[in-house]
Amino acid sequence: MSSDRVSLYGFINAKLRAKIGLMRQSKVIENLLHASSLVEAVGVIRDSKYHAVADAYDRTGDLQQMELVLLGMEISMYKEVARYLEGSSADLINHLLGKIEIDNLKNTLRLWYSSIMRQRPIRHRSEYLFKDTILSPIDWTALINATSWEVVGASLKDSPYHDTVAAFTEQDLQQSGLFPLETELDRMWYVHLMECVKTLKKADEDVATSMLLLEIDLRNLMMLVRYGWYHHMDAEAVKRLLLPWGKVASSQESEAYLRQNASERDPHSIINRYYPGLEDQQHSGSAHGDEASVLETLKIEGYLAERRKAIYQRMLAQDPFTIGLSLSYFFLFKEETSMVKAILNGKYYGYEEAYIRGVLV
Amino acid sequence: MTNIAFRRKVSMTFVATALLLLASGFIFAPSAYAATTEAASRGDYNLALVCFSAALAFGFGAVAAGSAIGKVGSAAMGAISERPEIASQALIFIALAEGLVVFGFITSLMILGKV
Repeated sequence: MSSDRVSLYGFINAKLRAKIGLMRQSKVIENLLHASSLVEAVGVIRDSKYHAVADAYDRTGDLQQMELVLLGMEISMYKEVARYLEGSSADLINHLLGKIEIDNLKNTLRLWYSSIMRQRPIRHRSEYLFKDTILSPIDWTALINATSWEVVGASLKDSPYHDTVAAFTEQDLQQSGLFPLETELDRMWYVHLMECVKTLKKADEDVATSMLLLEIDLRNLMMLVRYGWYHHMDAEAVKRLLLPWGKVASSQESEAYLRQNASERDPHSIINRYYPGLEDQQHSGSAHGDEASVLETLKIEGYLAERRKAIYQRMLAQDPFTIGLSLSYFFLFKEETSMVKAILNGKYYGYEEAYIRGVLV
Repeated sequence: MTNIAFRRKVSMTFVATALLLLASGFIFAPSAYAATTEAASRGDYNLALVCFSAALAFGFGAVAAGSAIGKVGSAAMGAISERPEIASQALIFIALAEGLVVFGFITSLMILGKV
């Protein structure tokens, strides 16, 4: 084992393992679920690492402001880990943080689109955007207040997203909406991520590649289910959405699945090809109507999320001196914050504990 | 101070400890050198070899302990920063690494005892 790896990861991985240990011991999620109201739930998180979320509730009484604080915590988490690393490992972490920036950019562009293209009021919604610097120097306020698509492009001139955004015109947006642009931004992120992974040292590259390809396969499977089955998109349109890496995109099974008539596609068969076990779970039969399809899609998403979780947890038992531990920590942290968010929302809307527990993956 | 600088500082502290241990090896050096020179001048190369072996046993033990303490200590600091309650457990691992120099010291004493 390279001595450099021990020096590089010894400190941060021990720190992250300690954090994961605390996360597992923590009773926050259970106590949140037991809380009888939102106020009681806020009381639970007041004495935990989520105290800033409780403070946001005290200040504003606004659930979405609490979610904004959770997003801020996630960004800080990436930045903290990147600070303790150096070289290509730190670059990779920063690139992962870039996904949050892209998601924030997509949210901002959606609001801009609603405001300028659809002439809808957005003032109340723009309060819930993350406006601090994430990675690139983007003036989020200027972006959302842009009067035209050219001004949007100019606001992004110092960011890596400028060329992608500038490749679309206002006419493109009027014709097809923001979906193609959003897909292109995601694709650009994955392309750069794959390039970034190649610059890692061998052991890190192997770990990061295996996890990344897993993510890509799961994403492609979800695209096949969501767009190929639920939205009945035609084969060519779905193929354009698939990322060109991993086992799923280039497989004969995917090809055969997409060749079928959209209404005859069976998502179970393609998922069972890669992750056997979906059929063991009770499902809502052959989907009848929109509600059944939504439930089925959610069930498949839930199943894939469980598979992902199992793989990330297995990663914790492997080589302790690779970037894998950081990646697992990110996953576990995000999973916990998503649960906190879901439970707070559930309590806000007055759902019972059993119901909220049922929707948590 | 950035976190990387902090991490480096922690590592450097432990490396400095190792260097201190190595420096203590020089306590033995004058007598070992004198014995070796004396033995060599008498043409007793076996004695010179024994003294040299004792110095090597202690020196390598100290360097290895320093390197190990640097790495274990750095990881221990990382874990303790999140969970201070595990400090005593972390110290056990640092002590295990410290044991290397003790083994080196004992080995060199045993070698010198044969003279």
